[in-house]
Amino acid sequence: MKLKELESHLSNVTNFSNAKEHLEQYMTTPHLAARMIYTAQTQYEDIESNLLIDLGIGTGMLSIASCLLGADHVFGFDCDSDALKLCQLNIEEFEFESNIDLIQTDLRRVRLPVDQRRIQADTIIMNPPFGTKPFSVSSTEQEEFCSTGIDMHFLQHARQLAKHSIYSLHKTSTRDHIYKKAHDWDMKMDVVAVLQFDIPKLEKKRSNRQNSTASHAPLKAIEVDLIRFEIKD
Amino acid sequence: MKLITHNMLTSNILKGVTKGYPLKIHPIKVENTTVDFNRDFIRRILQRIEYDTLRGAVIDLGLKETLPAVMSETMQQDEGFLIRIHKVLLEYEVKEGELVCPETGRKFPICQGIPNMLL
Repeated sequence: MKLKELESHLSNVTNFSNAKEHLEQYMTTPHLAARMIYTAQTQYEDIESNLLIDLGIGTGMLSIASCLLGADHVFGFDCDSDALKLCQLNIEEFEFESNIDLIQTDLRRVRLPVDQRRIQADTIIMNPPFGTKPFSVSSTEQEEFCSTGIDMHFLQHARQLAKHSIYSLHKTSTRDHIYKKAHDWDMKMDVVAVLQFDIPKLEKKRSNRQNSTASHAPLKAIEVDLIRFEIKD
Repeated sequence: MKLITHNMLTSNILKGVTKGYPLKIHPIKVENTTVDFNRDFIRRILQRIEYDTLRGAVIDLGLKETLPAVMSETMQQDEGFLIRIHKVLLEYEVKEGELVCPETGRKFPICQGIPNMLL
């Protein structure tokens, strides 16, 4: 399948109608998702006949793109019931019910409810929340919840679940920090592409972030790195 | 939730639980669908599957499919066996029910096919 054809298929993925700002829910665009998964397959053969995990699956965009390119199977994780419902509808629309399985779990936790030795996936795909500030955790919860930036926390989970490679999107402005972490965690890191991502502009002082919706906020373009991490043997 | 998913889930996110595996299934509603058989995929996934857990899950669901007590190397080449594995891994979907932690008895609901492992 050609890149343009993949992107065109992905334009049928339904977006969030009430994206939750506190979860930084914004759909990976068909443009971004197509480039990410197409590159993973055509340059590195990391998709076709591979077992995948999608962390923070959201609308299902990346998983659906992967199945269109012949992934064996995808396990998708998300904490949000509404996102999972939407994702399920998208999966049904593309008739990938037998290829993608969903699990509801809180990815901010230190541990995930999976046996990591058993289910190491060949490839992890994700578009993690970009939040660069540590999210608030009370002292009693410190053992159970991570205290680093949420994007790095997703990457840490990915590192534990990946047998071979990880594809992720990160703000270009945080690249140096990610290089350092990749080195610490024994991963080879390549910035495959720099892409533009239109995300809802978040107000700095919003009194009620929990209930506000990112769906109708004005958009701002940010630069994101499409990064491929490879687990060193 | 298909049995391929059940095979990887644990309740080790609970405080004090180290293994939390395998989770017991209390099925309420199970659907059976037909899925295209992909021989190569089944052979690959078989390397990652905990066979005893799969057998236990087949019993939990009360399925008519039977799996031999022990899986041998030669069986992994046998088309009939691979098709049976395919059926139990992918063709049964627990739509509603519960997963139960083997150590604490804590229950995790399965709603509309999605296991909810939130605490």
